[in-house]
Amino acid sequence: MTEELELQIARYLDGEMDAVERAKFDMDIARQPELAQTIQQWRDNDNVLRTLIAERPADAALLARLGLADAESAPTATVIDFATARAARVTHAPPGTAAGSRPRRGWIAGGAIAAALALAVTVKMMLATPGLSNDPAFQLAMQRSASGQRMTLEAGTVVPSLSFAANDGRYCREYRVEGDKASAGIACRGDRRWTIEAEVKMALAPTATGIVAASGDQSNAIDAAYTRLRGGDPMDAAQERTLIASGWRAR
Amino acid sequence: MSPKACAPHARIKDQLVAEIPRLRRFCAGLAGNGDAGDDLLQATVERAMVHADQWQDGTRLDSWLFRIARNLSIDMARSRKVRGTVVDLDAIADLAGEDGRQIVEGRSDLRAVGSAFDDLSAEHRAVMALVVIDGRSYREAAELLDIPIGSVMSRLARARAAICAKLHRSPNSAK
Repeated sequence: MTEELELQIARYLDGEMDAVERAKFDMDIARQPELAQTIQQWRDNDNVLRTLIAERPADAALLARLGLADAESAPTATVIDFATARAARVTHAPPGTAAGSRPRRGWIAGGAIAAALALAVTVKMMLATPGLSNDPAFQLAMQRSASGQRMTLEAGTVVPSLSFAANDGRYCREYRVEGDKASAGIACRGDRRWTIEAEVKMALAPTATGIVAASGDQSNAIDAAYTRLRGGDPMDAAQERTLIASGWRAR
Repeated sequence: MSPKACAPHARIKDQLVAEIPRLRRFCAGLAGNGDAGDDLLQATVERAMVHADQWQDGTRLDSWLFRIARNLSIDMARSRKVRGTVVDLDAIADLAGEDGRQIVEGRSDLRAVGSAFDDLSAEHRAVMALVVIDGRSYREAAELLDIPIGSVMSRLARARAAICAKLHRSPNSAK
């Protein structure tokens, strides 16, 4: 492989290509299975590295060692602040829904997507995206990533957004996928793998009016699954960390 | 003058605590090892506290800290060879074990990626830690490391090609 091509792959994976160059490179990839394979290998390795070298919150012992134990904001070792995350969901809840009265289930338009783009309507209830749950990186993200931590997929980036226990004994996680095929959903841990229980697609379209989160349909699809699963309150970061460490064994 | 301005330590300390998880990860990437990473983290925090007055309020604390960590890691690498595997590979590999090779390629590949990363030079680990692991842009990484963007790009390409090459040399029978 030429050095030039390696540089292109790096810039492709790191999001450093502009749209035109990216589209052109996508066509190259489509025509060259070997190139596609190399890119997949590099991407897989990147994901393994992100998992191996993950963000690790500071516990009390480490803070003491660092001489920071008395700092006012000494965290309860959070990677993500769930209270803030929940509040954000309320903030981004679509107009016309009773977000305030349902803080836990207000819909997330969420973080990076919401900041840059508005979510336009095209939302439909659908079967899980074919292939998403079969993507090893998706399984790895559900299994190992703390909420808020990003992992690169073949198509986009997946971020688990919160975790909860379902009434049937399984553990479940909400996630969102950012990228061309943006979606959001709930996956639950079965005996061997994470199965998608509900998913909505989000069509991204810039609008002048700010955030137009999806119509009621969108939150309804996820809400319906949440109700069916009779999910409990979202876990805090410590509980989540314990489950990640223990492999999410069903209760 | 506000009381806080008289006490740079107090001003910086709280913000520093919030940066620890990411700084810790960056140090683990630079050092290529969990324990060595925490040693580097400690040295970084100590130096940051000593030189707290040099940090300018309003500039990015994380970049300032990352730069300190980066400089220290060069010093440490000169004084001794820092090496080792990164974190609990077995715990992560259990995941692969459950689904055979479905979730990730397998235990040996996880190990191989970890050790191939450790075998990279400090310069290559630094760009990987910033861009691939911390999600920085090429421009940010270049500014932080004081190198041209072109060097960031070529190191990222070289590092990944090296990791990939190591994996494909490893015998399949180990899986």
